Amino acid sequence: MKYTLLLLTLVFSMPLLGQEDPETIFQKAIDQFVTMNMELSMEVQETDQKGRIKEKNFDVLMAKFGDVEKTRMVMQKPERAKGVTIIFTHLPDDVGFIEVFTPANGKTRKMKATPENVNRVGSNFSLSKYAYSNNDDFIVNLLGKQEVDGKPCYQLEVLEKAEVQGLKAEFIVEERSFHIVQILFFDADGNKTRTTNLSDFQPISGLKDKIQPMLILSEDIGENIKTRMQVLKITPRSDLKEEDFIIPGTSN
Amino acid sequence: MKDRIIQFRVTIVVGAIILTVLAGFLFPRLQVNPSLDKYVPETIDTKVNLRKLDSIFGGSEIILIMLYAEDVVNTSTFERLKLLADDLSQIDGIDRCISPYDATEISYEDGYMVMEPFMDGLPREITNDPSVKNRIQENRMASRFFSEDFSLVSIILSKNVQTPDTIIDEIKAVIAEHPGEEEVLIGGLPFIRYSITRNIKSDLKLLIPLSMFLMIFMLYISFREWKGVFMPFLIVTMSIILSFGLMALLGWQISLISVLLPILLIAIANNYGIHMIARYQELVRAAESVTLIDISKQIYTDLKRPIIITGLTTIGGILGLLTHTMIPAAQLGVLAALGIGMAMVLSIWFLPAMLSFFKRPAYTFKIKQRKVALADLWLNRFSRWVAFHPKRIIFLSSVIGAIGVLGIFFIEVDTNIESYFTGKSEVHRSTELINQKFGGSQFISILFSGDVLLPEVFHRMEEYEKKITDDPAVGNVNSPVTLLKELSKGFYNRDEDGYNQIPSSADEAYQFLEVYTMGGNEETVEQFIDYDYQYARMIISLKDGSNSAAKKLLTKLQDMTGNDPNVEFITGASLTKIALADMVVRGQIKSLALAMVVIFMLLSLVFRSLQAGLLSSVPLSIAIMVLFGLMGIFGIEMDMATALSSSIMIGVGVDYTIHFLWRFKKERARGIDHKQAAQITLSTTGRGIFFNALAVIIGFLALTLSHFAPLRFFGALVVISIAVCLISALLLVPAIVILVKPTFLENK
Repeated sequence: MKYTLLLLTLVFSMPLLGQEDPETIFQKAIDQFVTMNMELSMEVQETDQKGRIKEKNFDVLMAKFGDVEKTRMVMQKPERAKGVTIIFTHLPDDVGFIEVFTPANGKTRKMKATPENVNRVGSNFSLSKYAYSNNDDFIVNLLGKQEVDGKPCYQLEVLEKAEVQGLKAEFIVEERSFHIVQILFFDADGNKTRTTNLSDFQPISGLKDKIQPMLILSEDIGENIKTRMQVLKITPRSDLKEEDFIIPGTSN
Repeated sequence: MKDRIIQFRVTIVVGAIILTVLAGFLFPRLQVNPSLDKYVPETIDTKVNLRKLDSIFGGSEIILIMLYAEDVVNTSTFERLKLLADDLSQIDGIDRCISPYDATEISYEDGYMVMEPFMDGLPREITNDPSVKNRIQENRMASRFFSEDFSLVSIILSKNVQTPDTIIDEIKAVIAEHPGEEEVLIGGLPFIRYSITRNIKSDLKLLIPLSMFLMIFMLYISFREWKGVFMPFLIVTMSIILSFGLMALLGWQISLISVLLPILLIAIANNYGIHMIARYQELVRAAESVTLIDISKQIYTDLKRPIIITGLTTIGGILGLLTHTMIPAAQLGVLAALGIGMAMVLSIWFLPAMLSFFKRPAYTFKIKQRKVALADLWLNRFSRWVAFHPKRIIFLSSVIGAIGVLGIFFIEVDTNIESYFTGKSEVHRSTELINQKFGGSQFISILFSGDVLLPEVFHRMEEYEKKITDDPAVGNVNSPVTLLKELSKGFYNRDEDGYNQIPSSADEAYQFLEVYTMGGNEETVEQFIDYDYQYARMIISLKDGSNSAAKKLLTKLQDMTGNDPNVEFITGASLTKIALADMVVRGQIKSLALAMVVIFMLLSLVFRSLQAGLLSSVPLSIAIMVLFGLMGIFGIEMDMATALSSSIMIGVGVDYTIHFLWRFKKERARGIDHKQAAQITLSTTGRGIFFNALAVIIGFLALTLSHFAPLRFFGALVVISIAVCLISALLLVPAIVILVKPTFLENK
């Protein structure tokens, strides 16, 4: 989970740095992604170590209102979970909160957005971490170059300055397009813990120079769980209002 | 033939030694297999269902690590618990490691649902804080790790069946890295199997030398001559090596039952050598000028036939074990029969061949003759009493037999490996503690399939849970109901309908589980409901792991769930032993029947009379009745080991009757009347029979020092039953032949 958080923080929150150095390469890569005011429809397929598959579909809304960032996820599949809604509210200088709505009993439960609770409701849906990215500092080093699918790529090492639990990631960035094609996560001992492959990059209509990896394949090496996230549809939504992030008819 | 033994004596001696050495080279191939379950056919329902259950819910082999102290609710114990849990979870091969640190507390406070690790919510200083215990008791997900009196806290490890039990060594190493004031105990079936393996090895290391020592002692006392000790000892050693060599060659594994093999051979296989040495000494004493080559030929001629007859009857009795469905028992039958056969062959060929190389000894007889006279005096008195009170003896034997029959009705069959260990052994202590304070380490699962999230299914589960909990054999019952009711606390206020209740719809249950598993709590859920929510299971732990308790509970569960459309099956490793027990009983009956038939046929053939077969069966039948009667009366359970005692007793015990009848017939042929013939037989052959039985009894006595309760009982039962066979042969058989005057003993 912490790796996903780092990844998304890196991807969506890095300020622009210099050019043609590792930081610049990294920034160019992450700058292509859309962060806020959009709607996503995605299919998540999770395969456990025994090969059993769970399929879920989500509709996701992301927006920023002033300093407050909000993400809404509504489960569409499986049928019995249809309508389960999770709303993340991230406050700039405070711990935010998470609301979970279960339509079967009409109950909404609110949780503080502690890292544990963020984990609790969204570990297998990494985009839900949009709301919790901070502009932390990173150290980016160029480790070298390598070929991925016959295309030359940069191999970047990205370290958090704060040294949060010794987290380290390697980003493989395509030299020509600056697409991030692979991210490798390592633990404090240097063991690889997770790999994420991004592919099928599509331009987002109406947003110049912005792209979306439509297929994200991730593997938790320790747990031996594979996750396949297929973005079915992505739409820029500049019209989103705070009302869109309120669960109607909630009760306690 | 006797000349050829001398002619080819070098070939015989060298050939036998080479064969033995070659067999010894196969020893490294031998492997220990402590699990008796593996010998139960894979096709029985319980095992098929167990495999399906494992494929749905994952590895079901549980290892419990328990911290034991007067009061475990204190800061230092919890710190140690955390360190242990963290390091134990890192061991390769441990699929799952759960402790109180994995329990979640779900509550609703100040408008927020609080879902936090249970242990994080406890005060920093917990020692002497009574509120902590209350909080533990209120949370079922946490309280299951603690004993009710808080003297124990546990870590539950689960491993796959494929992971070897030697993983316990790594667990012990982790425990050693975190010393503390609490005693750390390990429990669970993998630990019991691990302990069995270790104890099988140490049993072999202890019992074989001890038995050998007892045998050497017996031989020395009997013969007072190094050849008298060395040669029977060598034959026994060779037969043991050959038997284990064959075991390795056939790829059979050493089980708990295999421990009996060397002891059996030490106790039985030396008899033939003893007879040969006794005869050799007799001949040396009788004629001072005869060479050892001539004596070797003579002992071969004199004893070949009786040794072959007694050897074959013993082999026949022991081969009765072949009918056992339990593979280790049948294997023991084959190996023991082969060992005894080898000892028989070596005694009549190898021993004379070897003896012929030695020089004639010089004997002094005076002291021995005085001792013999004293022994003879007692034997004469005894034989006279027997000869004149045959009716009394038969009456007494009938009464004893009748009491035995009554006792048979109280026999219980038990194949629970927990009962292998008794007293202060670590396994026994941990098993007792688990059974008393954690509701047991043996489990039965009820598998539910179909739409298992429907409220009616959960309500039925809850109803079963209530009914099962009342059963005295049941420790704990856990089902998805426990988890869902706990989850409901996070969605409803205390005063709301729905709080701590079963979800009102399948959708609600699904959504509870979905929200809970989003946070990576799959493992907690998957103990009860599978990944796809297609199956659910109820887990029942047994604090009484005996067969009778498990069988009663199984019947109760079957009656209770018989009409439940969602119940697919009831299974569990603890039910495999019921199948095992059935196999033990069936094997016991079949092997007894076969042994009796073989003995009957052999003796009918030897004496050319069916009457002889019948007469020889009488002392054996009395011994069987006494044996089973004692088991029933003293509550000695029939298990894998004790079930073998009757076949072995038949094989060995029949020899005494043969010896008696053989000599009696000879005396009758000399025209001596029945009473006198019985007297003479008892005072001459009776002496040999007595010492022969004594040697067997002493050989088996070593087993009473085994680490395993079934082997100790087996040793005691064999000793008692051999003693009964001896008494029958020296009392009942003479009494019957005096009264009945069977025709096959008359010289036609």
